[in-house]
Amino acid sequence: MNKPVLKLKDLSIGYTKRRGPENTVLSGISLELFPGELVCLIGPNGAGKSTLLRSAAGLQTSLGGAVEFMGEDINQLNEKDRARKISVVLTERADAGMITVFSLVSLGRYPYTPFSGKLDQADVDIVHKALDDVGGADLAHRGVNTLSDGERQKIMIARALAQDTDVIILDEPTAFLDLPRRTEIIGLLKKLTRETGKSILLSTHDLHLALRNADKLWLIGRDRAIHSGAPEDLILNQDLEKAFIGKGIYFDRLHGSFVNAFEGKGRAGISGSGLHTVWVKRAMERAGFSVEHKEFTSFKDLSFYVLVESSEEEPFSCTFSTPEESSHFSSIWDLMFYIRNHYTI
Amino acid sequence: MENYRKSIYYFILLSLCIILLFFVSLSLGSVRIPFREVWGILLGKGSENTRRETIILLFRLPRILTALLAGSALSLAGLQMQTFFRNPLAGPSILGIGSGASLGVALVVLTASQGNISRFLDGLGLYGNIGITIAASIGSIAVLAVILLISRRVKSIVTILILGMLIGYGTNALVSIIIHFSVAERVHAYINWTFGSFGQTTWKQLRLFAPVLLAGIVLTQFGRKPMNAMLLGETYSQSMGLRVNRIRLFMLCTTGLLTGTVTAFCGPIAFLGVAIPHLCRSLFGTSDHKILLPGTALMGGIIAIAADLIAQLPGSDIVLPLNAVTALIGTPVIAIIIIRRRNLQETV
Repeated sequence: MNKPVLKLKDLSIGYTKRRGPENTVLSGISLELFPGELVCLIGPNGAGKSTLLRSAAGLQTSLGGAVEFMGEDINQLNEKDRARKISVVLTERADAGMITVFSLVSLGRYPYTPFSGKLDQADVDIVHKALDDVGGADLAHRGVNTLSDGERQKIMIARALAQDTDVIILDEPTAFLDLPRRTEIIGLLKKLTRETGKSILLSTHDLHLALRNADKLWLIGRDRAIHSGAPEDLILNQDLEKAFIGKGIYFDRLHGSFVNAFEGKGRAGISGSGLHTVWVKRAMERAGFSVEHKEFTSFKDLSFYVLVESSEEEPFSCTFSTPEESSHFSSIWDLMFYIRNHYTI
Repeated sequence: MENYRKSIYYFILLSLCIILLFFVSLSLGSVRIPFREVWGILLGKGSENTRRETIILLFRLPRILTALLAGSALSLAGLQMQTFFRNPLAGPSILGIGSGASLGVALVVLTASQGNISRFLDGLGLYGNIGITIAASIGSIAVLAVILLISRRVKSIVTILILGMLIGYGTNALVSIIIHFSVAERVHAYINWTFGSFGQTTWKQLRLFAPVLLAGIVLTQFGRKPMNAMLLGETYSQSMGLRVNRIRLFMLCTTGLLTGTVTAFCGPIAFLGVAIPHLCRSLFGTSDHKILLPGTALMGGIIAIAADLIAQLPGSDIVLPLNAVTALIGTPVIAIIIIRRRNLQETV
């Protein structure tokens, strides 16, 4: 656990054009990936995330510095040896045509099978294990082109697992997925690092998932410098917000998410307990009010006050009151519709 | 999908088809020769009718063997190109590879110094045959190399196809310039050659044609592991340890050799190369090259013999241009691919 499995040493990455100068995307990158770690690479669009991942995987020659796998320069390894150490899952939707999930996952055995490509029993077992690990055992005989995006991504991860490498690098594995599927895939990857001790490096745009799940973030900042640390480190030292902040959005340090700048419609109070109250408060904040959760005492500096009467198992019910009037609502939409019309939001 | 047992039945079926077609095409033609007589002639028992013996042994047999090998070769070239470029519409005739071969042939044939020739390749001798084979192969390899270079930058299937067509036009322009400076008889022979035919190869030429194509066909069968990896595209293949440059060279040489050799002896045969891999995928229901490589070879042979048989219009004295028949078989297949695949702009 104490030695990094992958080490980027003063790496410069980018492209060389046949004629003309080198086009350096990022330079001076020194990062370490430890066994069993889930690292998320984040950064604004066009910051060079894919280039960094490709260079780290040894699929693209770097312009300077070195990528070391357990102390060996990966550009010195031959293709087969490299393929036994690092596997990748790419952003591009690989349409493999008419082959079964099993066949696709078994392609991961490529660096191990003989010239004929024949799988021995051990290979077959590894492929089934990989499918099992991603929860795709029942997909084995399905055609790859009948899968949903989420299933397909799982299968591509299974293929990387079948390649049996210490490091798996994924370029935006959640790009085409809906939110629950994204959570599922990241959860799966995290579980794999815990259960197999493999190191997983992935790039993502999903800040929320990265902050919740990564052991470490590699953050490409505005200044093209790379900040590395626990998600919480980067929140507290403000590297994260500096990298992403823009007009009209601000970083909520308490919840660790970017939100639209506060609209300042006024102050309001709420009381009640349980989930119903939490979501009413959220709706009021969405409408631009600064909401205090406290027992009603007086209207002093409050525009209005909402008393949530129902608890989880009951139908929703609340009372809206101002010094002048009071009304009862049985859905949050009705309440918000009323507030919107009164405060011209 | 990869139902290997079912595939074995199909392989048996395809093999039976080849044997059946082999005898049917020996028997049918401008003159109908009964099966029993065909059998006797093949076994060397001869026939009372020496003219029939000549027809079978000197004309039909080499023609059918040529069709079998040429069909397999072109289809395998098409399969390799489709997998390699990840382009369902790639094929020797479509991306201008055949045109490259034609240019090579035109250079050798139209500029050769010998006088009268009646049959296209006659009079060129063995060295001449080797010469045009090499010239045609170099021509196709050159065009393939250009397409490979382009395809590394341009990912759109349609753009690659259009560029392939343009290369075809370019080489045809060069050919017409060469024609302009050539002797009339040779030009006539060249034009006839462009209609495509399996019937121009004599036994003497088969001695060169057959081993070269057989070697190419056998060689491509070894590509099944890397070809399967290429189904996922170049980057994935590279990440799984495939030496992409080596495979690229392998594909370049085998496809160029197969296309070049067939084109040299049979003329530019259109559409077989692109259509047959698709027919094969539909029949076996898989993209696995373990099945597709031998399957395509067999099916290519079958369709080529069948196309040749149709071109002979059995029972009549008329012979249709082979390319007309292969185009009638191939174009519907291509049309179906284009219609089925809504988004040709993206690579596969």
